[in-house]
Amino acid sequence: MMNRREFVKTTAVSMAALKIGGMISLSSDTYASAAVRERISLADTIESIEQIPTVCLNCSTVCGMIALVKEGLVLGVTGNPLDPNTNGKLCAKAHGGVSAINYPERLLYPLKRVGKRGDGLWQRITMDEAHQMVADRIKQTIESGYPERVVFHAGRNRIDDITNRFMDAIGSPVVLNHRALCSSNKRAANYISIGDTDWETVDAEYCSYFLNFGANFLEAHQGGFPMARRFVKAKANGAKMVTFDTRLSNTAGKSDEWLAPFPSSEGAIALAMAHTIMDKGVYDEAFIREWCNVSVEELKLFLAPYTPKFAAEASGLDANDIERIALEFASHAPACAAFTNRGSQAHQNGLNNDRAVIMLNAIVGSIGRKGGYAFGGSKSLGNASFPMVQPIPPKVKFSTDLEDPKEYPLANKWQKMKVSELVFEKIKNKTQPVEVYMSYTISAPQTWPEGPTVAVSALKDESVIPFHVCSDVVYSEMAHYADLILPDATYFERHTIEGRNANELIPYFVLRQPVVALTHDCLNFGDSLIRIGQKIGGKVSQYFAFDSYEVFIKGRLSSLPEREGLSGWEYMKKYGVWVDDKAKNYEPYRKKLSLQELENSFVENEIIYLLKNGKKEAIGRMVNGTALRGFKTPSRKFEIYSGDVQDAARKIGLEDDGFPHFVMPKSLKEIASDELVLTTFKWNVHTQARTAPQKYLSEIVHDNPVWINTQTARKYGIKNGDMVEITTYRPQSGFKASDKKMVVGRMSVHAFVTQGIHPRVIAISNSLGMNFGGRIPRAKNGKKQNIPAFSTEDHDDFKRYVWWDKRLGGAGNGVNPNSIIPINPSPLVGMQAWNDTVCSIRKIKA
Amino acid sequence: MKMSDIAKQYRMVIDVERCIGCHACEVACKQEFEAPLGFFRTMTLYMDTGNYPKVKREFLPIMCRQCEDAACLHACTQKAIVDRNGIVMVDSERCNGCGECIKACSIGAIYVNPISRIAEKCNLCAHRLEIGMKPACEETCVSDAIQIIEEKELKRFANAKGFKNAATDKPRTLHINANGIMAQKLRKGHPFSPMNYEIFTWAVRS
Repeated sequence: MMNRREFVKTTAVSMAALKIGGMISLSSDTYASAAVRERISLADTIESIEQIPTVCLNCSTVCGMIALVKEGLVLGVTGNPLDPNTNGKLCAKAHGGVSAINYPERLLYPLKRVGKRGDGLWQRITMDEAHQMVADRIKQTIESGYPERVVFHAGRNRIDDITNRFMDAIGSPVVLNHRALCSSNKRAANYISIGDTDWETVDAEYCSYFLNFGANFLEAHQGGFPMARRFVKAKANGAKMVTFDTRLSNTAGKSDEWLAPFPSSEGAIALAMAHTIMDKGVYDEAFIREWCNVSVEELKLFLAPYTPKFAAEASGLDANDIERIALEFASHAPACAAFTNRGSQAHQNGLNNDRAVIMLNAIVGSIGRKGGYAFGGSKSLGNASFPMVQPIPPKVKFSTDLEDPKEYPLANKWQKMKVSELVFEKIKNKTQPVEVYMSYTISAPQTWPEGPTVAVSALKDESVIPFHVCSDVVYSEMAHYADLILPDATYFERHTIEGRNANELIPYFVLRQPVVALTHDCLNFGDSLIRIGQKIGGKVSQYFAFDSYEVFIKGRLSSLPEREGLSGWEYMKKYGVWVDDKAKNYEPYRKKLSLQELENSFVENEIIYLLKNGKKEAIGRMVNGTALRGFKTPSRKFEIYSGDVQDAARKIGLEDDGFPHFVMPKSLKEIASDELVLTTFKWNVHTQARTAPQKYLSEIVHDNPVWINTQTARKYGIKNGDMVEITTYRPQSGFKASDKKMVVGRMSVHAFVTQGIHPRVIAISNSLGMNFGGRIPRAKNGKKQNIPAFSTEDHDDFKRYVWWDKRLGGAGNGVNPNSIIPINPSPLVGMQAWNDTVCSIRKIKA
Repeated sequence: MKMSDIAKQYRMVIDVERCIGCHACEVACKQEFEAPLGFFRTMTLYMDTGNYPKVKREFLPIMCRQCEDAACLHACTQKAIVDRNGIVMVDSERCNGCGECIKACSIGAIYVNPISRIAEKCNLCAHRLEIGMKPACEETCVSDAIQIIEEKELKRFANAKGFKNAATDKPRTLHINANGIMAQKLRKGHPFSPMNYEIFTWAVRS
């Protein structure tokens, strides 16, 4: 058998020095030898590879995987077949993520800023000095009597067990996130309708009709990968998919039918479909009668104005198609599912768009059914399943405008989703003064609407953010604006209790564990917080009386029962996956409440209540004399009408009758005939901000021209590759509303002329156009930047083979559309209306 | 055990209908072999067809087709390319990196590694097959679009055909429902071009 072993022998320097087996600590010298890594490959060593189960975190789908390790180096990954969501499969991002570990521009040492903030001048310090600096700052802030001036801001934070503990311990409620940039309308719509979960789980394997409103689950949707696997199986068995999306995503492109509606009209289409289903009498009368909180008559009355003709006018689609698809969908019930994502929810009217789509499932009776719109089979990773280590700090009892803006009354109603696209504006205005800003796994200058302008100006301004400590793996867009950088562990070097919505509808969880030792001064941010907590001393340190995050996680898992003669911890270290011994959770609302659950309960209007701290809490409902769990809504029914929404709207002076009506956002309703709508999207090989430095992923997608429909391009005389200037305007309703065509910004970008987009829509992807993060995301061959936290080693790929470098005639690294996408929170929930941006374009000379 | 000791005749079958264009196979492949940037044993090509609003996107995972009587094998000046167990493979100890094989291939499924100066191409992950594992691409494929089977199982795939770019091609790797127009993206005598990833190449040239 021929391989490259001989070649390896002659070129690799002293491989023997590395062969000390298992997990080794890479000192600078052995790390230097990692430069010969290009000479060792999986292909050469597969027979003797060490396999360690862990969990991917290159996106938030958290797939179980097995790291393939040799001599302290991760050479590759493969899916963990025990993971019930993914059955041993992984996406491109999972494989591409391996390169993060030995990335030449990875941060290896803590850095203290020495120049002006944002000048990029740094001094290397020790981790202990860095922790002391943070502890002193926080201690001072606590002692000043304003602990809420310590702000924690995370993006993809999967260690909130320790970050929340830290913030509770120091007494600050200001924990910021990115949920309103991601999914808050979608989640809110699910809370309102089914009251149960933050994410539906289409029972895709058994679904025979997929009615998709703006989800790109074959590429990007969180949890999309497990759904993609089941969709392909269903499709092979004859399932049909219809996708409504303004752009031909891979999901739209693989659908049996792609229909491109005018942006934000998804709700009108869904309501018209509901209208048709009711009108033609193909609804599930029993489900509506038994489980919905409005009667058939009330529903018909509500839907009366939403005819297919109405939807055709709003969407530009054919009324006959809307009617036909509605009836096809209903004919597949209950094995059919109507579902959503950013295409439907990232609008000012996104909440009702999503409620209208979810309602379709109720009307045809597919809620919770086999092959239908299932939910609620996931394991909670919180305190109930995995108790926190004692003593637990008390929850902070007050809130501030930063994490709980009262003008968005549904943002924090069910879970603390927050309205984080507003925070930099609020910080700049000193609405809530900040002393210490801690950032973790977040890249706001890259990913925030107006990030390159508003977020950067707040981050640069020492008068509004006096101290910024950033934990990151690479020298990122965020790290550049810090005063102190803590080099984080990659997800290959740390622990986390993980899990997502269970696609098998059986609770499961997975354990991330280190597969190689940490290198240089890098430290898991969870461990940094523990050490900082200990250094703060006083009352704070009592909550950090353990040595490490590993000890903390081990403590949380101590309540797991034994399996196969192993403790829960040992079992998880060995297999990486735990699946509960339970049946599939179909129709969870029909579960009978046990006598134990019913103890001390009482019934009012058929709703079963318990008294908790003097407050009535609904726990179920009586159906034909049986106590059932019902939906976790106030009525314990599927809520089409929502009193919660009506009340919330009243609080901020809005008229709302509680039904999911369709109202086109003002900007889109009044759009001029020569204006277009700018939308944004994600690729299958990238996440928003964390994958661009990974060479094998950026090699596939590194450029993001603006998609323009062929007919539209012809009108403007634009051909493929031509430069186009885009001018965007402030929305006409909501935040900073303006009727006067107030310009947000202008951007020049080259055009991709395509049949695959609505003629009134243009699209620029996110994830690209970075300023920092190394040579790969910047598309620059040559020597690496001189940051004193990098190793001295390098690799030919980065020096010479970045073929998309413009200087080699390549396409370059793309643009960041966020410099011209306005901050635009939707009413009530505060979800960023990514896909509502009105703009004009003109062709410019190259 | 050496590959040649096994009597098995391997075949790869790719069901394009199942492929969702996720690129996992090619990234797993590059990771498996630590392939340099700009060079590919396998790629997933994209193609948009139709006119708005009736538009479709098709995908084609393409790699060495393990041709019978392979042109690259005949072109090799060093007898470094051999055909065993249904796999056309490069003997890295014999290869001198002359590149004659590249000129011979009608789709460009072989390249010379710029660092090692040795020709590289898909070998169905022979190193994995010989220890009973699946190739890296098949192992990770979320839609089970890629399968390695034995020649004797071929009858299950009556609709699978070789993807040809020249009349004389004799591919043993078979595709189900591949669109022949994709051949526009491949050039005889030139390794797979990274430019195939550029979005401007997605549309059909008319």
